[in-house]
This record gives sequence, structure tokens and C-alpha cells, in this order.
Amino acid sequence: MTERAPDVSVSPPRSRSKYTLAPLVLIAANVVLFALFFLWPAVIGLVYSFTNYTGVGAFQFVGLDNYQRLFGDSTFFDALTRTLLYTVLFVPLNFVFSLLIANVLVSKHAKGVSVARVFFFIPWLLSPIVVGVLWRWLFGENFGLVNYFIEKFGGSAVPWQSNADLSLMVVVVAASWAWTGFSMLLFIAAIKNVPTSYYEAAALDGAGAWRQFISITLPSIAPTSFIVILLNTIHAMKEYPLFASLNNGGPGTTNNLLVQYIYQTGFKSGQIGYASAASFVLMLILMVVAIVQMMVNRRVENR
Amino acid sequence: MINVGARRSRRLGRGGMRRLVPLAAVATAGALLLSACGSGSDSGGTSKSLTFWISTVPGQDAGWKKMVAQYKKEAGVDVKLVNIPYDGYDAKLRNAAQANSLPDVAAVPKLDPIWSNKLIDLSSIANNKSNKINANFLAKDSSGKVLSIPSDITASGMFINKSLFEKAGVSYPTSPSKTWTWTEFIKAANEVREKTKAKYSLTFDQSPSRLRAMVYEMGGKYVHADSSGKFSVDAATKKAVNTFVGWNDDKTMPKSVWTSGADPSAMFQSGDVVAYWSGVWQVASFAESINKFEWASVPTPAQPVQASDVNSGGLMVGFNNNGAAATAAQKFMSWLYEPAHYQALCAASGFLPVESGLSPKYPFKSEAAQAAFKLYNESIPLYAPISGYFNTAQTNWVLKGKSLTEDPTKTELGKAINGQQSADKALDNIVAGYNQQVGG
Repeated sequence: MTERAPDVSVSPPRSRSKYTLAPLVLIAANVVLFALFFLWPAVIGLVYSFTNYTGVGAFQFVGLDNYQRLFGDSTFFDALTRTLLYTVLFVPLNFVFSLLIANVLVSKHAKGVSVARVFFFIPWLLSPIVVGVLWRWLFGENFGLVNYFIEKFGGSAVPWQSNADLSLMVVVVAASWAWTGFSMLLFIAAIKNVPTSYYEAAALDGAGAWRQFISITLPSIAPTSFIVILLNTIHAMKEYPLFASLNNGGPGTTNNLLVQYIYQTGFKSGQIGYASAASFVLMLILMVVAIVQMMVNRRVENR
Repeated sequence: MINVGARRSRRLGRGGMRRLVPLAAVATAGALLLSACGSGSDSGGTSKSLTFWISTVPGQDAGWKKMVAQYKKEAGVDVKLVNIPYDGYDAKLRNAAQANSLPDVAAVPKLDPIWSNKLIDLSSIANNKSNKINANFLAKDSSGKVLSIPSDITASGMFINKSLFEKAGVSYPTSPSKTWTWTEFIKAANEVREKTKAKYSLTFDQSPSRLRAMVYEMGGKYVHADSSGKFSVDAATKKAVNTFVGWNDDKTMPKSVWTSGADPSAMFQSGDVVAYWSGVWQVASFAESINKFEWASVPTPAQPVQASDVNSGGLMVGFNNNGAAATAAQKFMSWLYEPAHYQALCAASGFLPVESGLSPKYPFKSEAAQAAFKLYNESIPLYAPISGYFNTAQTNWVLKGKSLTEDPTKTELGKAINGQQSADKALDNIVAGYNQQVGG
């Protein structure tokens, strides 16, 4: 026993070195990159939000002034309201559209599924700038394809760009078109994982396709739905390139979303401190959205 | 077992490895930094060799290449031409200044306080009467030292759909000495639109420079600083801007350009727009791209001021790296701005010259393009000094360590056209933006 004692006492440190050093080395690069490109900028951003930093030279700490200013800034609230409106319009539209397509594509009656999947997935591979340019060609107010056909059939050109609400609607539809492929793939994977025996049993009980969808499919894919809604919400709250390329936040500044407001305030007007405060307000909103959605999801799962 | 642990320690180098990784990282970073520092070491020439930085799209550096080769033949000085990508050119110059490895000569997009104290005085070239350099576009400091001379200049230009004008039977001026007013131009363009069922009378670049040119021509000074550096707008500017906003009625001009960023050039090139207010740089592209109708450049309107907003295509500067190289750089630039050499440069590169009295032979096949360049070369000497105000003001801001990062004109007038605010309120906001960024 006395001879075996050193084995017992030495082994744990050796196994620690075996299983801790290698993982540490392997993740070191990620840790460094995370610290350098996320943690450090985030800390700097937080510090800037309490200063009057303009991007060059020295700065002074101004306490909560930037945050107080934000609450009295109508442009900020306009951008925030428009961002929320865009999110409220985009997320359900994308959800319904992608779920509908996913259901059609998993149907045993569907033909040409592989081609259709690629067809619906391609828009998601395009850069948002390209998507914006494409939809601008379609819904250009002056020389767009849609107005061309409207006028050709005797109608009047629709102000797709110079009417604020129509301009927003075009972006909502374009974004849904571009994001359908991604959400669709998640839904297809989830729907395929629902045991077919559920549907067979429901069919034996006389449930139709709609009842099966409501009572089996939707509850079974709830976790995926949660992920799709969460990702789409976060994406919508941070949307920028699609607006920049499609209507430049216009007409005027009516469709300037929060990220565009932050970019213009920080980098174009040289108010880095103020823009940092707006960024942190956006981050807080996103965190609240994520937490609320997680709580709701947990409650649904525990039912 | 202890022995095993010891062997493992040696094999893996537990402590050694941990020390080695950061050491290796530091060594690599150090090597990279050293190599980065070394990259600029080819600058700072001698009396027989100079380094010359430019930034042009590959293929459009023909004039520079030609002049450098000719200078080597005539003066025996080897000028090494380095074409730097536009993105990052400013940063590269800043880094070179901090590493004490600036080029000897450069064509730069703008001056920079980081290196402006290293510039050679170019007044002997600028003041040489035989060169006939337009003094409105020189960058000078408060002591009168000439910091830069434009390599070429750009200005606003009015393009018309000549086919539509002819179809409507409406005439237009062809000589800058007998030009029209904006009121006459708009009346003519509206008449052409109505007679030919064109979609719009005019598309107008969403650009502060174009608006400045129009305001200057209507007798205003746009956003102008007084002696204390405080900005304001005059009554003529307010009137001109209100007129401009009123034109955006989806007939005379489409609202979508200034409110939503629609492309005015594409609209004009579609053939369904009577005229287009843009920059002279469009000539080269229209020479190739417009085939379905005839186009022409017409004299810029004067109401009553004959003016434009003239900017530099590039600013020629010399850096004082060392005595011999500085003298050689000065000699090279003196040679370059001799009218015969400068004319050859402008012809080969398609530049509008900053020197008057030249007739460069441009390589355009399009008659409209040739006529356009002839018109602009005749027009530029007639422009009032206000035409160079903004270009000079930018230099002065730089010398004070300031810069207009964002001209609020586009955003504020976009809001006015969209009905979010009045044109006067937009001007108030624009003035506030100028005062905040470059005032005082």
C-alpha cells in the first residue's frame, strides 16, 4: 500500500496537465481573438459612452450626459421606433413564409424538392448589398421593373422610394426574400425530426392536414421556432446594409434604423461618445429581447 | 510514476512550452513589425532618383508614366512611380511620415496636418507667369507658402439629351460667353420634357458640390465662414436652395434622387431625362456608354455669376526628405508644370488643366466628348474666384487640424425635399454642422 501511495497522489496532477494544457493551447487563439476583437472594443465602447470623445484627440468624462441626451433626442426615438416597426413586420413575415415553404418541401407529394431548396436558398447566399441592388431594380420608383409593368398596363407609377411606408415595405419584403432560405433549412430539419408515427396516429383519429400541423408540427418544432424568431429579431434590430443599398434610409431620414443612426452619429458627425451610448442602449434592448424569448421558451418547454 | 511525470515534463516541455509560446508570439510580432517598418524604406530619393506616389486606377496612369519616362530621357533623373490604392492612401502617407520615409513627390487626395510641415514651397512654380496656373485653386498657408498645386481640376458640368432638344425644336447655348441663366435653362428643359413626353427635365447629382456650384451661379456663397471662422448663409443662398428644393416635384426633378439615393446618371443614360447636372468626369464614361441618343455638354448657367465648384483631381506636393532630393523634386515639378509638358500630361491622362491657354489633344473618339472638353477648357478661366472657395477652405481647415468629415447637405436637404423640414431649417442645420465640425 505504501508503495502505491505515490501513484494515487501523483496521478491527478498528471491527468490535469494532460487534459487541460492541450485544450488551453487549442482555445488560446480564440480566447485572444475574443478578448482583442470583442471584449476590449466592448469595454472601450462602454468607456466612450461616458465621454465626449469625437474620434480624434483627447476626451472628457461626461458621466451619464450622453444617455440623458438620448432620451431627449427625437431622431434617436424615430430611428428606434422605425427599427421596432421593421422588426415587427419582418420577423412574422419571414417566419410564416419560410415555415410554409419548409412544409411544402417536406411533403411527400412535392416534386423537384432539391431544385426548389437550392432556388429558395440562393438569396440567403447573396450579400445584402446585392439583394438591395436587385430589389432596387425591381422597385426603383423611376425606372424599376415593377413600375414599368404598372405603367405599361395603364396604371400610374407607384412611389416605392419617395413614400416612407412603401419604402419600408419594400425592404421588409426584400429582407424576407433574402432570409427565407436560412429559416427554411432550420424548419426542414426540425420537421423531418418529428416522428411520422404521430402523424399516422393523428390520421387514424381523423385529423386533417391543418389539425396535424397545428397539433403536431408546430409544438414539435417549437425549439426551432424559438431559434428562428430569436435570430431574426436580433438580425432585424441590427439591419443596415439592406436599407443602405435599397433606399439609403430614405426618403429623407424616415427609414434610418438604429444602426444607421449610430453609424452616422459616430463616424460621420464625429460623436463617438454619443454613438457609443446609443450602441449600448441597442445592446440592452437586444439582451432584454433574448432573455424574454428564452424565458418564454423555457416556460413552453416545461409545460 | 514520478519518473514518468518527469519524462513527460521534458518531452512536452510543460513549463518550457508555456514560456515558449508567448516568446514565439512576441518574436513573430516583432519580426512582422520590423518588416512593416522596413517596407517604406524605398522613399527619400537623391538628386538622380526620386520616388513619386500617385493613386489612379490601373491603366489611367498613362500620362504620369509618359512624363516620368520623358523626364529620365531629358534630365537623367530616375523617377520611381508608385501607384498606391486609393483606399488606405492617406493612412500609408501618415505611416510613411511617422516612419520618416515619405516619398519625394506625390499626388495626394488631400493635405494632412501630420505631414503638412514637411512640404516644399511650390511658390516659384505657381508664381511663374509663363505657367499661367489658376491661382484660385492653389493651397497656401498663412505665410503665403504654396503647399500644393492641383495636378488637374474637376468642375460641375451640364449635360443635355441633344436628341430630345432637337426633337422639341428648342435651342441651347454652345459658347460659355453666351450662356443662359438657371431660369432660362429650366424653362427650356421643361418645354423639351412637355413636347417630347420625357419623364423629367433634370436630374441633379445628390452632391454638395453640385449644389454649391448652382448656388454660386445664383449669386450666393453657400455656407461661408466670416473672419472669425463662424459659418452662415446669405440671402441669395437661401433663395437658391429654396428654388432647388421646389424643383423636386417629380416633374422638373425626381424626388427619389435626393431623398432615397436613386441614380441620376442611370436615369439620364436611359434617354428619358432632358438634362443632367453632374461632374466633368462623366464625359469619359458617356463617350462610351451613351449610344441610343446624342448628348452634349452645354455651358454652365450664370445667374448672373459664371462659376462652378472647382476641385482638384489631385494635389501635387513635394516632401523635404533631404536637401538633394528636395531640390531634385522641385526641379521635377518645375519641369512638369512647364506648359508643353503639362499639356502632354493632361492629354494623355484626360485631365482638365489648371493652367490656362492650353489645348490638350484628348484621345476620345466621341465628338461630343471632344466638344465637352473644349467647352470646359474655355469655361474654367471665366469662372469667378468663388469657384475655388471650398477647395481652398478645405486646405485651411486641414492646416488648423480640422476636417469636414460629413457635409450635412445631402441629409438635411433630403429631409427638406421629403417634407420633414423647411429648406430654411435645413440650411440652419447645415450651418450648425459646419460650425460644429470646422467652425472657429
